[in-house]
Amino acid sequence: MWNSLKEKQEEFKVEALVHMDSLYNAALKLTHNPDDAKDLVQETYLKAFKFFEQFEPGTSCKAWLFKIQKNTFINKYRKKIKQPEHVDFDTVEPFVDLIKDKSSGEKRDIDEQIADRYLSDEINEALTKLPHDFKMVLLLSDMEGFSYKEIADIMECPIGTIRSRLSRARKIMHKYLLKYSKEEGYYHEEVKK
Amino acid sequence: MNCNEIREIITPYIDHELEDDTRFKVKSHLEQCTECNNEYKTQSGIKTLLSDKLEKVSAPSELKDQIETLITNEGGREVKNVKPLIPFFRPLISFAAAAVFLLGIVLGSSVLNVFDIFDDKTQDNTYLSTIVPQISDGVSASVVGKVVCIGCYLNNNFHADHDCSLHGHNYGFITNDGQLWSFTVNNSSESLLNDQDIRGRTLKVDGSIFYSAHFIEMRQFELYGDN
Repeated sequence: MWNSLKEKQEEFKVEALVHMDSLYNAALKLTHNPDDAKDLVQETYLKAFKFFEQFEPGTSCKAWLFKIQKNTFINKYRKKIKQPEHVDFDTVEPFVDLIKDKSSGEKRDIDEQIADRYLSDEINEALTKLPHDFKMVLLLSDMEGFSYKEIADIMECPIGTIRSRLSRARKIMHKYLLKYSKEEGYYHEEVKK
Repeated sequence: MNCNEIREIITPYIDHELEDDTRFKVKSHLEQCTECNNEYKTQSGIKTLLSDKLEKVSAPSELKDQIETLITNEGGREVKNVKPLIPFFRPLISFAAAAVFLLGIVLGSSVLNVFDIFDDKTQDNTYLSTIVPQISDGVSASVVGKVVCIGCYLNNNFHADHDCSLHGHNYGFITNDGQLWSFTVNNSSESLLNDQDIRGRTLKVDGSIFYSAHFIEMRQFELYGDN
């Protein structure tokens, strides 16, 4: 495929290494610590380089890399990192319904205000509550902007599954962020208004 | 569309994954239905939060350096490459040679080197399957075969479902009698199997034959160029 090793290395640098920041961020969110994240990214790139002739030029190299990283994560790190305990999806109360009970006219404003108050820390904390599969899908969609088809390809599961995981993941996030908002007093503040 | 139907597709609506006409229907409904609109705001609020507020960092520069170094070194590994010795497909062994081989097995000698017993014209591995089917596992021998990806081979010949496109090929080799062998994973086989594509190349292996599992424990190997 390439006339020389150097050619392969050059093309790899151009096509693949550019996505390192994205891969590293995703790795951080998955492993929760920078050392593991670095290892994960390194291993991902090593595999990617070895199998670079199997990458189809013209397709998304970023998606291809994310797929490798996801598989590497599953094989190596998932055993190390404890899975969050099972969340009972059916009992997630929509934030909005609760607000409606307390103060009818202000739900739209409350949503926006709560959103503005949240720090990255709280979001990260809520993310740790998500089971890995849900977290991955959520990050691929909302952090990296992949399409459903690309996510389905990376996660190696049907688009329908992606859709339902996204929906549930967002509801779980909402539930936990609501919990934080109550603990932090945001919720009560707004209700008093 | 009723509220249940709308709620079913709120997620793809938020992610711009709907067809234009469906998207329009949802939009119209949301403009009129407070309940559904609340549901929409809940989910899309989370998406916005994640897109805007999730902190993104740059990969540490030492990581970039490490990876660039790895890429540079990785490609430099070379497999020992010896000029072709003899084609591995040859006419059947002579009777005398077979007898000598069997004698070797009976005496329990530790190493049977095919190339010591057979001359160039009779070098063949058919003996493994036809002459000594009762061979006990772990017998040392030297065998020659052609490297294949086992998955691809099974896929091509027997329509086995095996996908090498991402996970890579898993190498084994085929001896002249059509037997497919795998390699146990050890330092010797690792150094061979983790290299670039070696499919189709002739391989000579010194090791132990685990017949019942069709595995070979590799101790030494020599890899030849394409035939």
